Amino acid sequence: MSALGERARVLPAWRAVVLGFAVRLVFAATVGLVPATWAAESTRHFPRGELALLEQGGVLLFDVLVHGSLPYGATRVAGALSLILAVLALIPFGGLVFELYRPRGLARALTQSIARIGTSLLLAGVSLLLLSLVVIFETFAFGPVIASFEGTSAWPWIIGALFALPAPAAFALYGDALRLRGLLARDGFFDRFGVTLRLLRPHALGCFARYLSSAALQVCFVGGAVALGLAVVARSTSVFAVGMLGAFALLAAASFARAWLLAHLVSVVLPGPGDVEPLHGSSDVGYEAARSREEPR
Amino acid sequence: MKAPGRSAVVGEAIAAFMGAVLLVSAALLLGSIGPPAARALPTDSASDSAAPAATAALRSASDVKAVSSYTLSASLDTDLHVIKGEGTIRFVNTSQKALDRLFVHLYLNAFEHEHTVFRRERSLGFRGHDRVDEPGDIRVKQFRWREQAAELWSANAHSPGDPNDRTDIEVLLPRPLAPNETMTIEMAFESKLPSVALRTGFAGSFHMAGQWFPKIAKLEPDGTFAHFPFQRFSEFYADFGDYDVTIDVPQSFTVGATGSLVEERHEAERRVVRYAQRSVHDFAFTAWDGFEERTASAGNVSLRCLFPRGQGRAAAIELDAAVRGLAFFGERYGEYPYETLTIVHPPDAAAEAGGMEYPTLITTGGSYAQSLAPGRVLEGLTLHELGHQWFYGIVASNENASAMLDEGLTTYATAEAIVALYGEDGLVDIDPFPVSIAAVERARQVGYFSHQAVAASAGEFVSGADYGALVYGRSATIYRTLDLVFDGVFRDALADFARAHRFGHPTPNDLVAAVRARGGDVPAAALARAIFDKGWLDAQPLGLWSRAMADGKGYQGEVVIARHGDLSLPLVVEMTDTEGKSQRKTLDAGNGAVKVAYEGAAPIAYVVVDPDRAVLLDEDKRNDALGNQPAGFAWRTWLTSSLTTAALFHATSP
Repeated sequence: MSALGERARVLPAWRAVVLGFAVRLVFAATVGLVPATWAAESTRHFPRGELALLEQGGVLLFDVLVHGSLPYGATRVAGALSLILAVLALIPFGGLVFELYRPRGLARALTQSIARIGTSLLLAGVSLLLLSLVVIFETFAFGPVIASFEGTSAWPWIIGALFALPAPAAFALYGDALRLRGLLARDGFFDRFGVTLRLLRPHALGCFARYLSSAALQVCFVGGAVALGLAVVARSTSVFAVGMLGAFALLAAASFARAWLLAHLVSVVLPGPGDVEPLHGSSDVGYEAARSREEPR
Repeated sequence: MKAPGRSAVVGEAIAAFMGAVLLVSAALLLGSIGPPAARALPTDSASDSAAPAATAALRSASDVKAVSSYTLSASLDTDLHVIKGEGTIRFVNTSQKALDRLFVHLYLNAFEHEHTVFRRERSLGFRGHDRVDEPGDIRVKQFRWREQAAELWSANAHSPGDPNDRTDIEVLLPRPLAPNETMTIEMAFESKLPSVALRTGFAGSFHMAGQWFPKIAKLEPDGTFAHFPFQRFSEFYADFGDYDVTIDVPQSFTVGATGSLVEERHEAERRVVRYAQRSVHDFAFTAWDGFEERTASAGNVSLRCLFPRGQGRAAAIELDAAVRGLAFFGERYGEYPYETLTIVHPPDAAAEAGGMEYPTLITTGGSYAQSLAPGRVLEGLTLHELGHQWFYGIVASNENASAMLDEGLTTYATAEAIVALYGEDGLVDIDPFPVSIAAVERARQVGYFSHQAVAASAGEFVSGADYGALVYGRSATIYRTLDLVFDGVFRDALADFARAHRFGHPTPNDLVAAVRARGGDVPAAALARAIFDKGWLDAQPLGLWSRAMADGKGYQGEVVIARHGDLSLPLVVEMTDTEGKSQRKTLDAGNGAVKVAYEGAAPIAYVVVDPDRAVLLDEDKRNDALGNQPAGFAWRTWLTSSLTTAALFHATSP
């Protein structure tokens, strides 16, 4: 195993996960610069700044959209930063795959790495599409129900959030299975999907907590956006502050929960020094090794 | 004619939704606007040759003089999609001149081959398929003047000046038909319905029969006929008359049609139904063996919705919208004068038959998903087609010459109804997104003002996109601007107009006259300029300055406002000082650049033209503001977008 592979194994997994999460947030914040720059540039002469976009039913917002005016300079900078961060976010995964296959030659390793990354991206894209469909369906299906709750603005969102929980939880499960599959460096999907599910089974309670927290976190993000929207229109700083505080508190809690569980799972899956070479080849050695480590528990 | 259609309404809803989601910022802007207060009936309005100048009471259907009345029998072969028809036309020469010819519309011939006027045109940004899988046509077997015992039909007739089109046929009379003389025409015909490409046709066993019989063109008071070939963007203009139509279909088929069902019987495995309606100017019917049915009532009006299996929820929504709409439109534009309203929700395979209006029969459409959508797609479409019962049906303007009276007024009226019934942001029913219909309509027409006059005839529009933007979007935006700038003047004028021209055939000039009667010359001139002359405007602050007064008691200065374009409307100018305190001044209607004096306790910081965004016709709202303290970073948008993006990342890779 290479030095990088060693480091990947030695580095406490929860640090890697927290780091990955931080990268993701930075990436999100960078992506957010694009519309923010666009909004600021479009409304710089209006006394209320970006708020003008939403006044009178969004007349100015539609105008800006229809005229297609984008502040190209700033947008390009922000877009380029987003792209760089997106590539950076893929480097750890690519590096891991590269290291796993290096003994077989660089060219083949690259080919296989790209193929594997491509498959992962494809699956990630499919999951995004499915999630979007689920969210759209839920929005459509429960829109009338939500709309029937009159007189309060909070209840519709609470109910909507409850209905929205299962979808992100299911995709979190899917994501973990995909991630573990990547770690195991297996070909094929459906057969190994069952293997990864079996790996997760002994940790049902932790998984439940992790997936629930994952779902809650996503709802929290959306809720934060809604709270922010309310603050935008209500111009209430306190509402905004409460929304943001809640969002970041949940974010922190979920981050630690995620880090703990995944660190545990990774330590179970990845073999330690001296174990059999498990992570390439066509045998089930890796899986066997992992199982052998978890059986005594 | 046709709807902005389902696709346009859907498009508007999606555009509205996406526009709002872009920032994912939200506002609770709920709170329905209550129904408008009852208004006194108008006492002053424009004149019309077919309508009284003033109406103390609404005209009822029984008061209307029939010009072209049809008694028809139609047998539908549901396998061959052929209607064998026969019957009579009772036609009265209500003009001042003797007639030596008639014009007869055979609009199904638009689908007979690809060289007809209709097929030569392309949708180019509007609804409808350009391809017709199975052609359709009308073959006239007999067209005989009974009193003269003379056959009038000549073989190989075609539209004037266009041998490739047979939708607008001139029929010469053997002797002139004197003013007030009545003629009876005995006719027999065979109509082959096309596969549904637009408006009419069949899909499987579903049949939507519109423009299915030979129909006399609209006779104008001067003795001419308002005749025109079947076009992609227009088809409607006819005289009022009484219709009595007997339809027979296979036993398993359900029929929906214009008018009231007066008789139903079964003969040799055929269902025979007879529908009759007074004072309408067209007759359409549908027949399908897949219909389910729901009914409702609204006052004296019986509503019936025919819909495909599985679309019960959509039917419920459409019936509810229609019930609400009948009350709203009735109060605003005069009571619905008929006893029935049939709503047809076509199957998905015949979606292009949806989003249409015929007297007492409208077609809607949409999928099951749309019935669940938070956007009020089905309600909007239903209200639009229902609105046509007034602006097309009862106020029977020439859709070909002045589509802005038909689709434009209906689009405006639809928005009024949605706002009144569901709230200002009622088109998109997602609580936090304050997207107004006015904003959507305005966005639709931005950039199109210079292409064509809004009042152009349907055939003059160079593309479907132009037709949609100008006839639907810009018309409605013009009307709403007048409302916002002149305190509801168009709303009131249209109510007058609808009542004064009930069962009449008004022109755009009548609409301008109604606005003048309500609001005076300034709004009337603005309306005329906007619809006839491609009128436009773009107000823009060019500069602002202020300095301390000599006595040290405040600041004075000026702002300079440029008013580009030839449309003159009053403008509000808002000046905000460095302390955030605002003051407003109103500029009278005018053009060119103008200075506005500023005087305040602090230096001026911003000037905004039209701060309430009432002048929706302002071509570019982005340049409405000028500040010497430009706003900083949009941190709200940044945080909102970042959170949303993080949510997406988290969702896709938890």
